[in-house]
Amino acid sequence: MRGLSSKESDYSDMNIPLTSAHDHNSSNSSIGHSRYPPDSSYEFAGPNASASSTPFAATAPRRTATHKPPSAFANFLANFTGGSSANQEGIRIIHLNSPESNAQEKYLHNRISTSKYNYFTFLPKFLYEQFSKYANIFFLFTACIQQIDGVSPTSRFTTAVPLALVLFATAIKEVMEDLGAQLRNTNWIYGVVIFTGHESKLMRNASATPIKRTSVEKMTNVQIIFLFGILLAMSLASAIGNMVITNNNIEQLKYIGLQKSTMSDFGLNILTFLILYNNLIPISLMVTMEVVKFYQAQLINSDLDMYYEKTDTSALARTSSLVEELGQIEYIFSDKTGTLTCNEMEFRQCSIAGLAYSDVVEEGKQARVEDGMEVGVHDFKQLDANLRNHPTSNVINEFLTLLAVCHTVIPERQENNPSQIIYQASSPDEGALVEGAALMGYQFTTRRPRSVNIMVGQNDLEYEILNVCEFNSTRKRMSTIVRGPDRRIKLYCKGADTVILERLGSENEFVDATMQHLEDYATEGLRTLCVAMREIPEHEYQNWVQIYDRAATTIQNRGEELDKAAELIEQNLFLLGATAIEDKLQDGVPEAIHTLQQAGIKVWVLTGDRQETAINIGYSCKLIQEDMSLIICNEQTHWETKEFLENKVKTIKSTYQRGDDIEPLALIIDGKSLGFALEKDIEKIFLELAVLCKAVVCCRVSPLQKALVVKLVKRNLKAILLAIGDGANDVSMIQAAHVGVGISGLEGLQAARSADFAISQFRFLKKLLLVHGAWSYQRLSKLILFSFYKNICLYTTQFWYAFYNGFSGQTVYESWTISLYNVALTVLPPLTLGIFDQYVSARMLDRYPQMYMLGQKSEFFNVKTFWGWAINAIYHSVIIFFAVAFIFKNDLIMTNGNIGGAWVMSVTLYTAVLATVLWKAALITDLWTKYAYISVPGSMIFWMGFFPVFAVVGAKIGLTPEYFGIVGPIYGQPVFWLTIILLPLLCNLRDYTFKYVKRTFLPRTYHYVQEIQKLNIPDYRPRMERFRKAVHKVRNIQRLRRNRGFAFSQNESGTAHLIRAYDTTAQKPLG
Amino acid sequence: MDHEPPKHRPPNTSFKQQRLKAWQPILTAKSVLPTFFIMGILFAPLGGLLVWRNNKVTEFSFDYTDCLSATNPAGTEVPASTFVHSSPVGPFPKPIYVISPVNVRVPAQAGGGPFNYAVDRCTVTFNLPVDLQPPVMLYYKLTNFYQNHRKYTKSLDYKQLAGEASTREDIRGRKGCPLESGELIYPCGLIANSLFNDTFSTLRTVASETAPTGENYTFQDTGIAWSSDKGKYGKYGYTDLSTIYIPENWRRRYPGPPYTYSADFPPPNVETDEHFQVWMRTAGWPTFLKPYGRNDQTVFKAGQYQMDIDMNFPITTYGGRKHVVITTLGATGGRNNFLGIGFIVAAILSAGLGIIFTAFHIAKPRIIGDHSKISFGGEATSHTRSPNRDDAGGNRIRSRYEDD
Repeated sequence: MRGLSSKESDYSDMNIPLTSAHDHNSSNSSIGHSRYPPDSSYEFAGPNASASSTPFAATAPRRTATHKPPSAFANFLANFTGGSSANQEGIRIIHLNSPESNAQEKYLHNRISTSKYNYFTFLPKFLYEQFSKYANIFFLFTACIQQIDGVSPTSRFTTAVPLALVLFATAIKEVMEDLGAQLRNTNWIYGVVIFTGHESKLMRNASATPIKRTSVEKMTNVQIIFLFGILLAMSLASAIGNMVITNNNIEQLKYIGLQKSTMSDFGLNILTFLILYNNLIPISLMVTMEVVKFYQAQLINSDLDMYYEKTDTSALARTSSLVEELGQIEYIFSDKTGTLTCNEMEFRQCSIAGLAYSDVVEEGKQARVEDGMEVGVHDFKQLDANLRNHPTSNVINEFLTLLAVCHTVIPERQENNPSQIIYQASSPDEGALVEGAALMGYQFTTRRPRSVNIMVGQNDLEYEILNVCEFNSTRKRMSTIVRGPDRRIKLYCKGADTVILERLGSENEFVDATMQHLEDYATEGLRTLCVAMREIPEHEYQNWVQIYDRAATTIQNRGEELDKAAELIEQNLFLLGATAIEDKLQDGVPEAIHTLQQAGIKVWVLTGDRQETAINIGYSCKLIQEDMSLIICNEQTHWETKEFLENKVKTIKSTYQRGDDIEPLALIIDGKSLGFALEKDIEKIFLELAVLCKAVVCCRVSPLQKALVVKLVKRNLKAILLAIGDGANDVSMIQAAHVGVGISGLEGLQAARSADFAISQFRFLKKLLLVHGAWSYQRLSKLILFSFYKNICLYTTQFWYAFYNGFSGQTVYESWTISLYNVALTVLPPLTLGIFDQYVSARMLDRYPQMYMLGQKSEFFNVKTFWGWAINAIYHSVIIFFAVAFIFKNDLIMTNGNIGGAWVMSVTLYTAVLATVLWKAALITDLWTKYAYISVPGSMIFWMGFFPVFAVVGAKIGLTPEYFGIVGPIYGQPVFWLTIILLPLLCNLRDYTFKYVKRTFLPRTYHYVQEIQKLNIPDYRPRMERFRKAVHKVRNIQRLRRNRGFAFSQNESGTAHLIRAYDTTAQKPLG
Repeated sequence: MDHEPPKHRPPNTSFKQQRLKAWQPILTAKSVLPTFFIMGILFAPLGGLLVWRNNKVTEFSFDYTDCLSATNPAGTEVPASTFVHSSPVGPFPKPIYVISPVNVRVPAQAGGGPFNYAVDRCTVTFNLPVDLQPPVMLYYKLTNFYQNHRKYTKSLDYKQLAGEASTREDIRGRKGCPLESGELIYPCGLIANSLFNDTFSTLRTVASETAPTGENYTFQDTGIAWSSDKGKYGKYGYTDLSTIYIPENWRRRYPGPPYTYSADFPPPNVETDEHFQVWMRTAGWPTFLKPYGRNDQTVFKAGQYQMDIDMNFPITTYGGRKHVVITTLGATGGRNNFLGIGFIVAAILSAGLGIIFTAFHIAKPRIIGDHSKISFGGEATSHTRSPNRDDAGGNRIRSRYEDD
């Protein structure tokens, strides 16, 4: 149920309406499924309910009764839930006013919660989740073995404490993020579903949400495993070294009191070295990543550029775990209606009797007389005038009558304002036409099974509906045969221009003018329909209706028979004119799609629309461009589809092999062919063809097919996919893709709820991907690389030191100081890099969409960069360690003649490493905000200031006895200061030089863009763009002569009889 | 009602809109080339200064490990490879040493009889070619001795050393010292047990042809440990010394068995014993120096001197060597040119890179922010390429786009 809340709704309220329910309810105390009181208000509960427009609210009116579902639904529910006893028979009997009897039925309780945790489950659930990460398990393991006596080279709690801190920080973040639902206020409650709880649709959908991990995360995990391998190798090598040295020099080393090393010593030594080197894998990386992603998500939520004023909605990152994935999208799968378009059809123009009318007349196109001919466009006021006194007024009358009568729309009167009619149309085009007619004064008011009423001026005219020849995709038209108030029989027909023109009589004076107008409309991207009629003599009708009735009662091939029958009467038509409807695109959609394509993202549109409509929209939203050649796949069988696709692939490939350029391609495939194309033996060929095309449009696809297409691509390509949609039918696709984006618009919230990100306009996708995604990917890449770098740099020094201490596992640093490195001193730079860094500004990313390809190609974070950084870290650690080993050779004679000893060297080495990694952080910081200053030089200053306090207090309380009295001697040594100046600069000289060399001699696009941004160099492209636009327009006209869409988006056959069964004069069940 | 202020409008702050004021440095020639030269200009003189000052430090050292086998009464020359004298003077004779067995007499503290033990005494005769300005330091240097071994470094009991009369149970609880034999040892632990116990005598001046007369030169054994170290140690807290055992390696120089302390032969006072304190501040490397004595007042005059070294410390059984190191002190302490050379190397590298890149820059400067180098949408089109197609085709498509 849409908007149904969890904890907020007070379920005890629900008992109140029940107590005052209808008499027959209370007297029966239970309601059988066959007994629906026709006047009682009810709603079929469950999944069906949410599909209807009926709202649901907590403010229950008093007359609400609750019913068990109708049997069909009950069966459905039973299939769905299986187990519980009450459901076995598919019937739920709910006893009103009798909690005791209800209790006996053992229904599910009513409570649902959409939040992830509650007070009791938090701890176990959270811990389970955290320890399912390799890194955390590893650190837990480390913390445990540190408790074993004599194994750990460092203090006991030096892993446990940071791990606890890290988990604590993650826990806080989790609590702050924890996905509960809100109850929305609505005016009416039509029914309530009770005793379903977790069986309600909200929960069913929610529970299906798959766990998504980003490719950066997966990649990180793989590298962690590799690093762990290296760690093991280092530990093993050290343990072997220990064994060799101990056993070969057992006599010489007797002052250490060593026993002959046994295999169990060897095992323990491996553990010792594992602990010693464990932070090769950065303990704080996971939590830093989570915190950074959380902030990045907040920044997405608070972006004013993605805030939609009209609905007061900002973008919403529903999960922060996928933000960087937004920077690596290669394919977008988009729904059309409601996503690219507003799903609002507007009756914009029409051509009646060769005269063009429009709601808004463009400057310079006003109607005038040239060479005795009326040319140009009239406005709708003129239409009104012409209806009264113009030679063509009769045609206008028939035209408008046709629009008001020939359709499958249901008029619905507002309860509080009966003069207001709302048209419920299964096809928004039809709705727009009927509304258009109403606007011109031909108001459709009533539908009865055998007739419709329209108000023309003050006259209420009744048209008897004799027959309806339905629309389908082969007919491309629909006709209605009516008997008018004057008892004459008329056939009204509307349809695609091609099919109408074929069926016109010989005397049709308006054809040329209408065709001209149709072309104009198509150029403007409007959806057009031709409108024609014929008066049918009574005897012809009587003859025909027999044929029709026979066809209607045929058992086999009824559809074809009906089509044939319709064909007999739909001829010799008189063309009245044409309509032009605008399927309004959302603001900025063409620009957004164009930009996304420039960014190297392929956009596939998956729509339930008909092929022509889809192509038309494809053109108007710039998905398909004038220079593309279209491959239209419209096959009827498996083999035809296969052959078609194979041929196309072969042709394209051979063209490429000849070295010829071919036009960019667009593939249009309809639902039926797609069904075949998705079968096992064809899917690869289909995919091969599809990836060769710049744009792909799948029309008439079912929700399932949408998901299948996404899954097909996901399975076979390494690309990262994004699906965007607004309706419930997009949910499966959204969940199948790596990243799901929901349009939080008018079409309910199912899509937005199951999505990872919700935005209110398609165009916001541009900023979401090109700016937030690109930033996030680049930031995360830097963060991860730097985190590994800093830890590898520090911890490999431990390994070098092992060569100097007989592989004894002695730590070169004091153990709490090491912990400090991970939880304090090098925590801020990754955070600021992750939250604030911008390698180029948002404006530049928007101006140069091709920068997005850096993310698609994983330029910033891949196996190569990872190991490049790792090797660099080792290089730095080698320089620092061995330089210190030489500087502190023989333990360093200090200025006063005393000897420094182990710990002076240790602190100097540590400070040098810290300074080196902070210099490196400075080098990779592209944007120096105040936070960057705080975190990079700030961390160094903090350490220099904190160390004296730490050393003095630590030694006093027995935490760090090694540091007793160490501050004065260290800070008093010139060698200390000179070392921490020289080594970091010497190390980073390579990095600095490489960075310069890359920019100067091997520049990439982003280098130039950074310079353009920095120097504020103006862009010379606007002039070029204007030229391009002019060319575009010319080509536009050319191609539209080839392809023209027409407006019919309703479902195929089978609805007309349902619509006709409708009687709007019968009173509706009261709400 | 109609015009409620928007509730969900995000705040327009520079933080939330990611428009924080910031500096955006770019590594272009203009900013990078000067930094290369600046680093060169700053580091070269600094390195030079360090090397110059460091070379003023005079270091004099030799290896005396093999003195044990130097039975030739005329003296044996120290091994040439281990003899270091850093002052730029002409050739002069290497130190010679000779070994002789002696008895050391240890007087009793509380009126008992003295204790004698035999020791090999190494008498070293050496020439000091130049005067050494005070302060002059005397160090011993050990090699291949793992004071930084994990099992060794932590083998001590801080409380016992601070003067607490720790019981066997206390020590066992604190896990610092091994208590295998069950004896309560003071000072316990591997570090104390392996205390360096060679002794160096005052330097006696020896008449020679170049310097017929001279003065003896004495090194004090105070001021060799860190002044702060005194705070760590206290006089032993035990009263019944007969229950306190002597560390195993020390016993040769004590009467026994039983090897317990007594009023006559009490434990050392670690609070004042700087040799002990120096030893307890463990080394970071297996080769290390430890101060033995210092002279802050007197000039160590050039001349010939003789020094007796009692060879108690069995370094050869540990697989290491021992040296005597006599040195003056410089601006950064002892003689070590690495830092100065490091600065000079960094300066040369940096300035060298600066020169190379400046040459490149002058020969072929790169245009900054060159629009023509950015391909507009070209790469997007290249996606229509067939996967098995070579790059030439891709470029063709791209160039077509750029013509647009």
